[in-house]
Amino acid sequence: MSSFVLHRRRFLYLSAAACLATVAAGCDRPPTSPTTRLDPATLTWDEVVELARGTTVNWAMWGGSDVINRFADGWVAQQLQQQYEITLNRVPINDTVEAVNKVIGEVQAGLTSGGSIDLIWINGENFRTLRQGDLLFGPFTQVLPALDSYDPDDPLITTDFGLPVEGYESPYTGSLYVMAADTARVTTQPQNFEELLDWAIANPGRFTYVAPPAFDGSRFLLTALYGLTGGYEQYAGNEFDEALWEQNSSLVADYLSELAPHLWRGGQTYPPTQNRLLELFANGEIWMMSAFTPNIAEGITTGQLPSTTEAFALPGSSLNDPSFTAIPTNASNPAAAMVLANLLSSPEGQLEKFKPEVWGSPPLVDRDRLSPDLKTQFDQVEADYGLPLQALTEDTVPVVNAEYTTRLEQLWETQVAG
Amino acid sequence: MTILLQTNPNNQDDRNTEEQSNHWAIPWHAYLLVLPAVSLIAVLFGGGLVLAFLQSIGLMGLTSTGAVSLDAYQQALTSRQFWQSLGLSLYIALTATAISTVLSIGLALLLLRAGRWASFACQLTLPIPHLVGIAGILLLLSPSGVLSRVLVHLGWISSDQDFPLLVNDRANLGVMLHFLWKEIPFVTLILLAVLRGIRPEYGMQARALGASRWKCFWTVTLPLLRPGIISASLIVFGFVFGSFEVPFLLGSTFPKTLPVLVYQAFTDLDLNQRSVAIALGLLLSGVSISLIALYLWLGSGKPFRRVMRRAQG
Repeated sequence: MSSFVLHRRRFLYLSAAACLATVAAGCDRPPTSPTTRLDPATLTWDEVVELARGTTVNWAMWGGSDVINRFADGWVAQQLQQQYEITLNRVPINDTVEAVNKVIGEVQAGLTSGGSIDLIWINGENFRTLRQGDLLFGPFTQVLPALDSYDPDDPLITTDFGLPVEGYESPYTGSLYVMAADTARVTTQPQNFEELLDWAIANPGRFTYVAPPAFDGSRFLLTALYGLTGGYEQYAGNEFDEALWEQNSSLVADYLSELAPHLWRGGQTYPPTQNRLLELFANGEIWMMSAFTPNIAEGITTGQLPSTTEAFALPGSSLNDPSFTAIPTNASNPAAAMVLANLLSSPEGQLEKFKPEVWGSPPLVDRDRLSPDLKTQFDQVEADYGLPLQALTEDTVPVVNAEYTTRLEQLWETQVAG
Repeated sequence: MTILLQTNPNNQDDRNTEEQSNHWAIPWHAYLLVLPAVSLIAVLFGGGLVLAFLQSIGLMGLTSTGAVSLDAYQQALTSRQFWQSLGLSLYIALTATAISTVLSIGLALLLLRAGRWASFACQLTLPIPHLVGIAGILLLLSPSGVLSRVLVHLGWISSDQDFPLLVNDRANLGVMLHFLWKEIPFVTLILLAVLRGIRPEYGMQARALGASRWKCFWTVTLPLLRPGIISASLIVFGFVFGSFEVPFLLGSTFPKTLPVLVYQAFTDLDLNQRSVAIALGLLLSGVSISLIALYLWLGSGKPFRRVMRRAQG
């Protein structure tokens, strides 16, 4: 008994001493010298590539899709390794806001360099949040050679939710938020929100949308705002228009409340995530939904969704919702992040992920600026694509200032769900 | 062990009482000895709480103005959503704890003489992650799940729309089912261990003196089980009240439980909402800690003794 006590006591003394020693040693350490910051304004592309060679890059991206993960771990990782000897470390996240929170947390904790994320797949509200906190590295896109293949005046890539990109984001994926219906069960596709309501009344329980404020659900609210209040143009400005919102918001609330009892499960509940919505559609519980084109194309290609699934746009309401990549200000390897961003924006990268068997994500490049050979390849993939992409794109409109989305989410929670 | 000490206070030896009388004379180096453990808890847990508190009152954070402000708490406490969420969280945690505790007491008594396989069976669900359990419940009980398909196949219901909604439903049945499935074996396992440590002589004595089975349960077994019941139900309550993924994936769309509300505020795109999220998180911890303290106080039997004494005096 006594020897045990002695042992324990000795152990405690030792650990106490170790504790104090660590603290003392920590005090003694000279402050780490600030690492030289990369300045994109004075860099050339060759210098960036040279700095990045042989390093590892941490890419935070939404990890909820097997095909997208395969694209990143496969083609992207191979190209990085072969062309630049860069190792790709994919950081899977559930929602882009998690990466945003991580950057904010790190900077708040004083980690203004050497952060854990080098590149974020990002757009919209998350981009605005990071810009609001001055947490992005840049402007850097003027250095990237891939940007030569883009139309510098195309509002689709120069603004993100009404906010000018100003070189802080490199274009990555095109994405259309449209409607999908199982044509085996849906004979006439609604062309506007009035017809959608009529369809829901005639087919109770066969339509629903993801519960806002989840990403997809919020997008549906925005299409409703456009479709019910006379189009997108009035909201297109950089700033949020309070008076306009006051005037129009009740139309959306009234419509959604009227629609609710005819939704899946009588609007008592909504699918909490995009994956659950797709499952409901795949299982035949719902016959019509709103979703992003890559999800629909992927679902049809993999056989998860019925082969009779067709995508269609609500003209003037469905969304063109591109996304980008951006570098946080505390990235530990901004050079390699720029190389990766360039690879993702390059015509080759855009072509690879456009293939429906790879991912099916629509390209953002301006095809008129490509070599004839590449242009033919893009046209070939488009011909094999399961959806009439060109026609869908023509009917879609951009996403506006994120404040409208935030207000719509609040409105939904207080007046529709509550 | 503690049970025996409590029921037989006279058994304590002299050395023990001597140590107790010296309770306050702690040598200085004793404090040094507990320093590592205490500093770990203080830095990691206490430090986190302090940082969170500073952010919630606007003294820290990216949008901080440097002035103390209770706006975050005001915004949290005046929103209808907070009170609805608090009510829902309390309802789920209290119901799940009560049901799993009562059922587990019965199950433990039934399994007492069942041999080692009973403990083994109870341990089976312990290593299964909650997310796997949630996926299982979705596959089984969602309107297009296995059960619904079997019923359609048998002709009992005509389509998936006739199947009752058991996941993401307003009454949170799916959440409740998941917690019961997970917690009943856990509580039973703890109670079985306590039950096996109780000397059977007490019960035999009571029975020999003419107590009925029921009376024997109320006056002998249950009081002896009390420490086990209290600690097991505390763990269950604390866990269920703060659980996020189960109500997030299986719970109702509206209202949301408090942890889901915190997550939503914390992932809000407006950076100013972050202080509200942290205030909500601290309120959640506060409610949880005070309920546990109240429960421990009631469970210790002190308040009842005081009432009894007053009644006698």
